[in-house]
Amino acid sequence: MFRHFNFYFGCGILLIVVLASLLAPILAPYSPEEMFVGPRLSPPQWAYPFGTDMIGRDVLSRVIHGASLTLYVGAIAVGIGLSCGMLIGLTAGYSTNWLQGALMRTIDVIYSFPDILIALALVAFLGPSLRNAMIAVGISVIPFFARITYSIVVVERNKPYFDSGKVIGASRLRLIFCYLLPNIIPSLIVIGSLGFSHAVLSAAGLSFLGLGAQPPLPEWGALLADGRNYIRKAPWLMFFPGISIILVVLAFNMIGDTIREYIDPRQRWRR
Amino acid sequence: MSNTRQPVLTVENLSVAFSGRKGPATAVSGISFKVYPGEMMALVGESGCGKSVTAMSLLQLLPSPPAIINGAVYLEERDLLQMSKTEIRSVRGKDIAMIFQNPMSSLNPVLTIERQLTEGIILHENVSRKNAIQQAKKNLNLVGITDSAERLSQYPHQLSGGMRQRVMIAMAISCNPKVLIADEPTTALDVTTQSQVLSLVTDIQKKLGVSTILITHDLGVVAETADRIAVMYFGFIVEQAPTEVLFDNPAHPYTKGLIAAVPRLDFFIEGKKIPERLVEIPGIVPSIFNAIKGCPFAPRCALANNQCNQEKPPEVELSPGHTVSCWEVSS
Repeated sequence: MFRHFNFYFGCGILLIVVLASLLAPILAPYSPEEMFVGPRLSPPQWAYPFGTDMIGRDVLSRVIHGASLTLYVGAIAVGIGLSCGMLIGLTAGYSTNWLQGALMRTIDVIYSFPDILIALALVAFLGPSLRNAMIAVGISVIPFFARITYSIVVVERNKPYFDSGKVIGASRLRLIFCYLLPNIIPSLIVIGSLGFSHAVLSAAGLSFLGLGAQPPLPEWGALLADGRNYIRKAPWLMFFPGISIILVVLAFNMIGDTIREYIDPRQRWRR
Repeated sequence: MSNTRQPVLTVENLSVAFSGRKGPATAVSGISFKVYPGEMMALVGESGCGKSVTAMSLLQLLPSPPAIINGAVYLEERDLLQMSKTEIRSVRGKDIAMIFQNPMSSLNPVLTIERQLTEGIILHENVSRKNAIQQAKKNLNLVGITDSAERLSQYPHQLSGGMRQRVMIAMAISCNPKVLIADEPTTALDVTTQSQVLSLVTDIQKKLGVSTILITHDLGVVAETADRIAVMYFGFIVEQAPTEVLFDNPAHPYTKGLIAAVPRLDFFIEGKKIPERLVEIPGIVPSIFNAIKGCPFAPRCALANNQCNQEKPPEVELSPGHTVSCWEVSS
């Protein structure tokens, strides 16, 4: 029962966010960029449920329009990070020769830098924009995904069932796709959903520093940054985008957990 | 066992070493044995004496490097060690099958029993999925699993340890292999299940006439099941003999020590004198990093003399099929 609650709660929030991003022009009461639709720094009230910001823009409209940006950032960054990281981790974990050492040492070197620093350097190189921030965040999380995939692969490939696959006479591709992948994908899904939240936060951080979403884009991280100066006077400027980020992150973690339980036959009896 | 028949598996001078930081560590040093059709041969020895390494190297399962493998292993005429990766893959599961010691984790946890049982059949024999499932059901019945239809749709974690080992055996025999290697198939099971699985392996071996190499550290296990026993110590085969000969007339001091160390329930039943204390073999196995000149057992052997420490004893045949490597016996 509780598990189902987790799943439905996560899906519910995700559904709301997806609907909000799809139907933003209809749902949002005002344009996200229109200034002085109300008084400056108005607290939440009936006309402006989430309040207004320092130049009188409606925060609710901005949060609704920001939903698609947030989903987009997370999806692209995790997509880049997970696909490249998984490929590197699988290759390194499966091979036993020099390739393993070369790949993992390179990854270790990159991993030793804080990933926000790598993202910063990449954005400085590519130029500040939301698109470049996504790419930069995606690249910066590759070592994270690669390392985790690698460690799972090494554990799995040393389990006896992998040997029994070999003993049956399974080919290398078969070993990878029928033995390794199904056993590591449940973990990767959970890590992917965690990485999603990480990516959203990193992108928000870049936007906060002015290197990601450029004003007046209503990206949630940028909204947080905008509201920072007014945290005492107008806490709702940070509260609503912040809560939105938390809820989306929570939703992804809950869904990821449930999917893992569903995919992993060892845990199926709990359903 | 008559030696006039052609052996199905011939191991000639097989040695396996691992390159390590302290230099090469020799796990198996030049062992030779033959397995004849339809017989059960046992490799007996204590932990770390090279039994499993021998088994793994037969099918090229040891990653090489770091393993350095020399010698020859003939499956009938073909040398397994010279085979390419593709060739050896067609031998694995088809001609030589293997059962591992840990049934709890030797099955792929995310595939159903059906998938795992049919995998080898589909891979090696040109049959449809439907026929493969029929074959899988038959094999499950053969290993004593009766509700095969239900079992096929289950996952490994839904089976008990003994059940999983039965599935492993069913997998191993699915392509009618010529040789079955059972690497301590009963180690991880409790005693009652052990005897069931053991008699199952013997049964299958008799029924299908498949040559079996049974690897174990338990002399009691092989006393009743094996036709022939090879005793391994420190990477050497120190004595080889038909089972009755080995138990009645052990020649090598190590074999004698091993047999003396087994608690004899049969003495108790027959009213013979029971030793008050079990006999033990003094000392420990030397490190495999140390190169040894003489007989590997010399440091622990009560009969050891100067010659034992200096020269390796040659293999001598005491009676047909009974060979031993010991200076004390050959002189």
